[in-house]
Amino acid sequence: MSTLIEPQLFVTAKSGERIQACQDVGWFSPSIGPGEVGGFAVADGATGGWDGQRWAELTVAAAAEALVEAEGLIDDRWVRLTFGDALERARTQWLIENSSANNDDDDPIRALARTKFLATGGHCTLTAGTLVPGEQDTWQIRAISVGDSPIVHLRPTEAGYHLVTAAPLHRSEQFKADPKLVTSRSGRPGTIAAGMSWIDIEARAGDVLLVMTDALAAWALERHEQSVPAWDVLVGLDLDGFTELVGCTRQAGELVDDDVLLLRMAVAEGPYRSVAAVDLTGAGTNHRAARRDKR
Amino acid sequence: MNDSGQMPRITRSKPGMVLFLVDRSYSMEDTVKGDGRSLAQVVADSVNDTLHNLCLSCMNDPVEGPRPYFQVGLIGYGMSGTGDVQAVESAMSGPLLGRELVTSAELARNPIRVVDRDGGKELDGELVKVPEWLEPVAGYGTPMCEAIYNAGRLASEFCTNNPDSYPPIVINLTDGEVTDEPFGPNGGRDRANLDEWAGRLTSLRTSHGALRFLNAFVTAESTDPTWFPNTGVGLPKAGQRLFEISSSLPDDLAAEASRQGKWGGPGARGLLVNASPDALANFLEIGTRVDAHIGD
Repeated sequence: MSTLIEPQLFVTAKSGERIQACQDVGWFSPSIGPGEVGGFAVADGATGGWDGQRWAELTVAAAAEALVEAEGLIDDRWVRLTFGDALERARTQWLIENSSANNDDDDPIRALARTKFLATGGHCTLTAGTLVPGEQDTWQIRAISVGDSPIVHLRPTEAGYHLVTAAPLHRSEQFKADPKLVTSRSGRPGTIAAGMSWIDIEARAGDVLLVMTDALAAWALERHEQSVPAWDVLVGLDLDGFTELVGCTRQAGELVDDDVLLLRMAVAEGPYRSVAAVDLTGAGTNHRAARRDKR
Repeated sequence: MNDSGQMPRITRSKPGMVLFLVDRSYSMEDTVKGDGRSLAQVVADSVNDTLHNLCLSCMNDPVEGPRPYFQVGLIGYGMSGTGDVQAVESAMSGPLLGRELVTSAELARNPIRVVDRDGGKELDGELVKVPEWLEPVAGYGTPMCEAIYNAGRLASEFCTNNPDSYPPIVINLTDGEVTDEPFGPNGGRDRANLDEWAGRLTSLRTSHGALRFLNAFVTAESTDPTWFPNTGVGLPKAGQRLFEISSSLPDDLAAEASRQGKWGGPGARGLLVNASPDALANFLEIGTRVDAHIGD
């Protein structure tokens, strides 16, 4: 008997925008530590801040770096020290990219960019965690979450996928215009604990974990509250289906016209499968598998 | 308060309009007590700061630069930009010379200069470079009627082309009394006085409300400013006339004025009298505050 994590990532930008402008960023790795510990991170760059896409990339990179360093064990100390340090380095990088390089000449756009950067900083949501093999083919998922990119835990039943838990947000009305955010501003990037939630999940074979940015998460939870099927739709999506779903629901006014990211992690039974892609950021869909093979 | 209800977002397909009418008459040469700058310089600095903030509010991407969320105009009245005649004309300079309305994207890319400035506490004390667009100019009379006529011409065209946009904002900055009454365009036909031209201007509207015509009476004297008054009684003579022609304060501006303790009560008008440099900057910030409604 063996189980493995099958990840799949779907990303699309707002209507009319190129995928390069998408401010949602995702990452997954099947082997950040011994025993095939997996890691993941999702961030949603905030429009109100400066260059939310880049800050989301740097924040996800910081989370990934800190998760690898932790080798699967994340706790308050990890948040404060390991992740805090990685985020501080991300902020330094952010300052280098935006500040000094843009103050060398009298180009008005670069002058405006630097002022806007200094005035607003970058902001993004973050949900990041580890997948650790547990007893009896289970996986222990431990994650931190800041903002409104929740994890949804689904379990198959004869009637379709059943919602086990959604966290940190679990109802559609909880999605507001001002979520808690990881910020680059004023030397305080590491102080995220106040707006942070811990999420602990035990998943078993057949379970599916979805990490979604706000527009899709709000849509899915609203359908769930109205007893309209949502989970089976999301579990069954391929890339074409994802594109069609987003297009149709936007047109119907059901889905807010925002960037959309869905990271789907299915706990599958089966033999080890090696897959190619490493970095799940960017357009379209990629695959990687984290194997759990108990002997 | 009036024009209540939900205001539309200002987007590329539904842009906003901000137009400044800048008094460039002889008396704008006066030096502001306790400040050292001329009235013309104070007005130019305040307008430049406001345009800078407007550009920043349109900007989310360092490469793309500000988006064309606004059409922006500067009309100077008094001495011409060339300094040799009285004129009512576009006060745009440099690459935008002569342009009556430009988009915020064009404006951002075409300042007349970029200057160094201390960003202050808000920008962590960093030195920043700030674009400028308006030059201080002073001389001749105060042809305010013709300036308002031109504002109406531009705003009328804007409202026709953008019927569902945020209502146009027209801000008049002056230190004096009108000198071209009655004014008639096209060789003097259709003559009307200041109140009538202003009435025609404020009758323009989009589906989201009437054009906002705000006035600031600047003075070189160090006198306490009067914010958004709801009566002309007690104001200096020029201030009384400006009270009559100013728009009633719409709900969103009244709410912001009230939040800052500057609302003059029911019936308050979009007027600042005896504007000090600081008060003028604050007035322009309130008058153009549409941040919550910008972006697509």
